[in-house]
Amino acid sequence: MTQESLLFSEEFLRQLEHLSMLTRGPVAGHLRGHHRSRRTGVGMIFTDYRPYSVGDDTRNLDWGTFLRLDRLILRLFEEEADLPVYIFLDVSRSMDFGSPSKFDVARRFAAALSYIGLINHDRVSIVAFADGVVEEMPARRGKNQVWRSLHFLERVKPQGGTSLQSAFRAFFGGKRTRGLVVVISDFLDREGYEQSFQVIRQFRHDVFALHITSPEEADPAAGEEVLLVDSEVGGATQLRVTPEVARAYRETFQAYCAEIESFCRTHGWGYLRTLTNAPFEELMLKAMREQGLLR
Amino acid sequence: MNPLALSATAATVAALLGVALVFLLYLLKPPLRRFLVPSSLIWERVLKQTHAGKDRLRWWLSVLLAALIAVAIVVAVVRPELIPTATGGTKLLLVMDNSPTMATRATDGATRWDHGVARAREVLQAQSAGTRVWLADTMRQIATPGFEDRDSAIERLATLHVAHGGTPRVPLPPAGDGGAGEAQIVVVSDGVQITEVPRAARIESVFEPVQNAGITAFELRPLPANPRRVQAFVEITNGGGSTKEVALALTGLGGRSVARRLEIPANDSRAELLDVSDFDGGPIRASLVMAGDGLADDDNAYAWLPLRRVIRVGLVSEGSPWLEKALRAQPRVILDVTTPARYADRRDVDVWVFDRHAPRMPPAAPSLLFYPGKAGWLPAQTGELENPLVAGWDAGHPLLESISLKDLIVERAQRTVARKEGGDAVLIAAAGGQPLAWVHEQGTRRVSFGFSLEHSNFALHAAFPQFLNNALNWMVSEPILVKAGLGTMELPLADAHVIAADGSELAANAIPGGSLVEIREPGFYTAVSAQQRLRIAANVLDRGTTQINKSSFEPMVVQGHAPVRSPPPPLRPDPWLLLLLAALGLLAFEWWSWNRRVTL
Repeated sequence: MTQESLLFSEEFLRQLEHLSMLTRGPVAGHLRGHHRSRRTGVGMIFTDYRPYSVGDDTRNLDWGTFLRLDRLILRLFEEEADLPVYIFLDVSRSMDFGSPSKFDVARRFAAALSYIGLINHDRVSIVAFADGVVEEMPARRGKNQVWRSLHFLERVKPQGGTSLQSAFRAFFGGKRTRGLVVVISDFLDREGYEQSFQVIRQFRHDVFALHITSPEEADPAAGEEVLLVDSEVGGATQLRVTPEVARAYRETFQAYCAEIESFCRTHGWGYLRTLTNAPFEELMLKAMREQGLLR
Repeated sequence: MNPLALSATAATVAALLGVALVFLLYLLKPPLRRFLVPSSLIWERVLKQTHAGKDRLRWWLSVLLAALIAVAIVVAVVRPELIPTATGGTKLLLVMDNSPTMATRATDGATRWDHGVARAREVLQAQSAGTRVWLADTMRQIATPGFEDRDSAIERLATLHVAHGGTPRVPLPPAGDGGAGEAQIVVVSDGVQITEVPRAARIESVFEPVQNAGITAFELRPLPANPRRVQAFVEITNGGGSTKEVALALTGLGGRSVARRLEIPANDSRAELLDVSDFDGGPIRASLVMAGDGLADDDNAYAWLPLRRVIRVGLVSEGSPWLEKALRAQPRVILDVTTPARYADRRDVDVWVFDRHAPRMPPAAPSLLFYPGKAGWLPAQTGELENPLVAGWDAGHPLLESISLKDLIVERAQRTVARKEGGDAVLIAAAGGQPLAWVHEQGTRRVSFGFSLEHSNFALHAAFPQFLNNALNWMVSEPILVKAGLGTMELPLADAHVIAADGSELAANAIPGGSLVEIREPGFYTAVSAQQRLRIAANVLDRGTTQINKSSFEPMVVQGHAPVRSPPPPLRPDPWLLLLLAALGLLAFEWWSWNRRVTL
């Protein structure tokens, strides 16, 4: 299977530079950024007053109030912070399927999203996971980290099974700043995705699920009688694919996708399902904005 | 007809093999195409929903259907015998009539025997494979018939053939012989020479009326008034249903022949006398030609014309009316009677007969002596025997052919001592080994009796003229002629070779003191052994054989026998055909279920 290039056209990159990540609430970043945070400090948006204390920045004293009330009142501003973005990229074997493969498409999404995050001075972490965390690119900020992230994405290869729960537990077991979790996966997890996302819910991360599917997966041309081989587990199941069975598969697949979408919507998370043969630029520039991940 | 019929066991094995083959073919399906899916997660859900896991059950259903079809086809083809056999099966007594009239050629060119064998084969093949068959023939070619399996009976049937000799009769096993009383009896016959058939028997008739004429008597006789003249007596019988013209021809050596055309009414006989005085001595064949003649065996007959027409016999006796009369009665004998006192050896005498006298010097011609008295060239006499008992005789000697001496009574005989050298052999012996008659075969032949005709009842025996005939022929070295019918013949020659007129040799079986030979065709045969030579004129000469249309079936049908041809069995559906149809039905069902995805 030919590996799709992660390089984007210059025009597309310019269009990406006009985009930024969007969260549904204030962020908890520690560094200055472009996202609203709950902390007050240097900023543009006035939030409140409080009495002046020694050591406060005198530049924020409201001199008009001092003249009227003869009291030193300090003006507070909403501090803008950076957004921790955690891009979880599914590198399990099930992703290495289709033409182009789901893995390549997922990497392109991860590359584009990391690019958007980095140029907006967000802290971008990329986590390659399969049945656990396979490899992790530590949080990076700044446009000069783009090549590092692309290099990371070029390096990862499909491997192992799928366990979202193991990956989330492993990654969020350490102290992580609350941020935006983008999960790019086919969500073919035998352990179930509901329990897996419970970990993320505990830390109140904002989640966006990017569901990658392939046309071959959605409507398989299995033939009359086949031996189904699971690309992850390797087990084989003899199956006679009658038209009834094929129809039942299509319906089950659509129902499974709908379940995931419903789960995400229920928890107020973003969800986007795409086929590998869908136009990538259009998805990034339009669908992502429509789904509230980018603006 | 059930050519492929197998026993139940063999059929079961065949069916099991068929099932195994079907199973193997299902297992030998080509390997399935591997279809790689990212995850079988969705497929597992589908399988749970659609119950596609029932494929195994469907596979077994397919195998079951295919196995049923295979079993049905195999069973329909091999047709297992459901009636078992060895002990509790059916029994059949099949009697083949191989009497001489079965050689009659029918209008289609095949003989009645050919038809009979074909009919018998049909009867046997219609039986179940386990049927025990008791095969016998009316001419007893099968010496000790017994129950055997059907296939062996079919093989044995092929070894039978039309036979001659003896009286044909339907043999049946004893009632207690392996349940023979419950057996079905089938008699395959033309009904001509079979007179009695069991009432329970089913008759398979091969009778068909055809024309036939045959020679029923053929004999060469010297004229009593002139022994040098010889006449052939020929009787021809027309066994056909209409008056027929036949051509009769007598053929001898050197191209001599005489022919007649005769018209003979139906079922009548015509005797004809033909002069064969001009024929050379040797075999003469009488042959008959008639258009549409059905039986060939009775169209030829053979006889022997003596090489020496007359035998001059010199009787030296004081007077023996029995002997003189018996000698004069011999057809070829010219008798010259003289007394011992006037005896002088002459060259014009072929045979000397001395009665109670022996010349001092042996005569030049062969001699027959009765109670000869003492002479140097004869065995020494040591006294007299009073009322000696006849203990034995050489029945194989040509002199005593066709003669029994069981009733011979001797009142007084000479006690002689046979010379160990000189070629003397005892012909008749008394109790204790004392010779009563002996023969001398080296040089000039002599036959000497130690008793006179007056002191015995030998001359009163019916066979006495035959003895004289044998003795005269033997002494003048006339070949000994045996008139025989066709069939098995016992020859008094050890290790004999029997040669037909065309030079072919008949197979002869050695028996103690002789040989057995089966003569199947009329002809002139020569039996040769180390000791002697025998001429055999083998003829049918039997009106019962020639009248081939006198079938006895009609009265038997009147008496309540089954009809000649069994009525065709009622139409019944053949179970094997039904089984084949069932297999086709199953095949159609399998096709339907496969299309409906019920089976794989």
